[in-house]
Amino acid sequence: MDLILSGFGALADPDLLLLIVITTLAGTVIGVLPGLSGTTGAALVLPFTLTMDPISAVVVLATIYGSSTFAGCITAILINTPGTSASATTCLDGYPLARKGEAGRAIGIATLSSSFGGVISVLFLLFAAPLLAGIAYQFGPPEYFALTIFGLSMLATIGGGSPAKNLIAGALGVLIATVGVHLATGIERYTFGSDALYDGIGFVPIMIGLFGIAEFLRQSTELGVKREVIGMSATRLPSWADIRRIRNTVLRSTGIGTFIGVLPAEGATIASMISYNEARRTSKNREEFGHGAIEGVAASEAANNSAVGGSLVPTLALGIPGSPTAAIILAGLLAQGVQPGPTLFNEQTNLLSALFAALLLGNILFIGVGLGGARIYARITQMPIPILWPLVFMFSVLGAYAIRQSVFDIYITLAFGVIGFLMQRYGFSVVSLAIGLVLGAMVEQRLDQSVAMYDGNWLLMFTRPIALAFFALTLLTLCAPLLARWRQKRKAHHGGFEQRARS
Amino acid sequence: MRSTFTLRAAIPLAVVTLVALLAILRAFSFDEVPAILARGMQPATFPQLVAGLTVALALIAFLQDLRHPPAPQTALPRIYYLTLILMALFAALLVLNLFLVALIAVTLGAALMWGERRPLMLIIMALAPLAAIVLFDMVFEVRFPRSPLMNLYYQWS
Repeated sequence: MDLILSGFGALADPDLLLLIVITTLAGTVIGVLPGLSGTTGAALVLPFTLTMDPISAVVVLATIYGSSTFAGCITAILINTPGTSASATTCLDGYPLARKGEAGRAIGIATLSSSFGGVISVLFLLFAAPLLAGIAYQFGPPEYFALTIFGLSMLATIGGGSPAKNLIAGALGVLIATVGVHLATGIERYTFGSDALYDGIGFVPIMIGLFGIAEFLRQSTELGVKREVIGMSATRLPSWADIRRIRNTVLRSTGIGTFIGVLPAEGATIASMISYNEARRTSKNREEFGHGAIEGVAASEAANNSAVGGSLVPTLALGIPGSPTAAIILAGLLAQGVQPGPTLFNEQTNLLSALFAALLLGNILFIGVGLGGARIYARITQMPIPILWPLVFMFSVLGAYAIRQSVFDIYITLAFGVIGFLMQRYGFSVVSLAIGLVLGAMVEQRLDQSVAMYDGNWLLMFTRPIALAFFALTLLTLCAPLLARWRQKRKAHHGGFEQRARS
Repeated sequence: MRSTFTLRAAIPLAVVTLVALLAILRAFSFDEVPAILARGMQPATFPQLVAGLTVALALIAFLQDLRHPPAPQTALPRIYYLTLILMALFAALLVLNLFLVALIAVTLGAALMWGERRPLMLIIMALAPLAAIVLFDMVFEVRFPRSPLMNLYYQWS
């Protein structure tokens, strides 16, 4: 409660209030622009935040995250192209609604569902994060090491790609994090005698490359794709009948989204997919799904926005990112010298309260921004790709340069742009690489401390119950696809057996 | 239709394996810390562990690809390679310290290559880097590498 009160106290600062309003609008524009996701937006904004104080920086990043996730629905509904990947399922029913001439109703439902999901998840963050941080006080290096390994193992489950390839990308991220001087011993690793690599490769140029330049290259391969734009004049709030119809869906999806968000590495995209499927499974109007069911829009949007607050719980309390964008926020916090973890809740209460207040206010602002600016967004979605993406390239390289004013960082950005594009093309997740990179230093440091703690006998880590529980969860996560396949085979085998018995 | 495994599909995994093996080999050349000072691990241990794990995972992914071959990739369009060349040109101009020229080359070049033909838009794309540099200089106090054009700008400002 103190955090909420001091958070709203922080909002009394007109500069901060203005910053939240501006970044909510900026995040909405980012989310509205096709292909420009919240993760790319946060990566592009990250260098600018380094010129700010930590409170403003984290407020900017978190508001961009929330508002861009919300705004992805606008393009999904109006041009059948999700503004962010988290809104992919919104297309399924939002666009058919728009084609029926109900674009305004669809955006109204999406706005209200997003706002509700977002507010509830921030309230959850407010109560759950300090609780989790309290538990984390009992963690020593072995527990943190086991937790980080668990976070990395979750990479196996992200996206639709092969778990092995996701894990390879994560391992490469960890390997890249070892470049530079080894802090514990002062020995140089993989620097090849270059001064530019002495401090390691910065997070920011890599993130900008992976999410900005790689997307620029990907857009060049999709220039021929034609988009049908649906016009609209205004949005409208859902009717009471609509609210009654989506009420349960929104509540359920908010719960699912918040829970998925809390899981390390899982983000809004997975949350919206699971919620959409769950809404369809439990709906009385199942046949309407895919043809303009308002429950479909509500489920997807409530879930993806509630995943935002959920994903910040492990990010702040444990330093383990709950989503790709949370990984960028984590990188931003680390670059500001702020160490996430349990101590954050005692040492940085101003920062946390401002963050919570910004997220709450941002979610409430969506209603005004979403409903009031619909006509403008409908125009922004039509921004030509040959204008938008060269400008994104320009801001990407300028952002990469601005941090250390080093041309070398631009080369890193360009190189990781090409690497990121090729990785996506061949089924390796760039998100895994980014999360591996952010967690790399932490996992090595914790392992190093654990080995030192047990005088080299690292097997003693397994004698600690919490660490053991995380290792067991890791094993379970890694074996889950095998178990699922085994169950499927068994089911198919039994099905075949029963069929033979009947005939 | 089930796709068949081709050696071409194994190239990305082969590259990953090669990078990881090189990382392991390179780590052997890291300096060692005397045992009395090294309380935790030697500097080479962790990267070797991670690179070894990467090789093992690449092997698993290769076996999975053998059993369930990935769908063959469609050829990349010509415009992709042209964009890549434009990025290479950008990097080359940076080597020559021509920062502003490099930015203009990309914004204008990419807009033209990607199909923008409206003169006003092309003028905007040519001027956008200058506006961005002024913004970064004035607001964020970022200093850019000196070149004849940048010198002109700094004299003017």
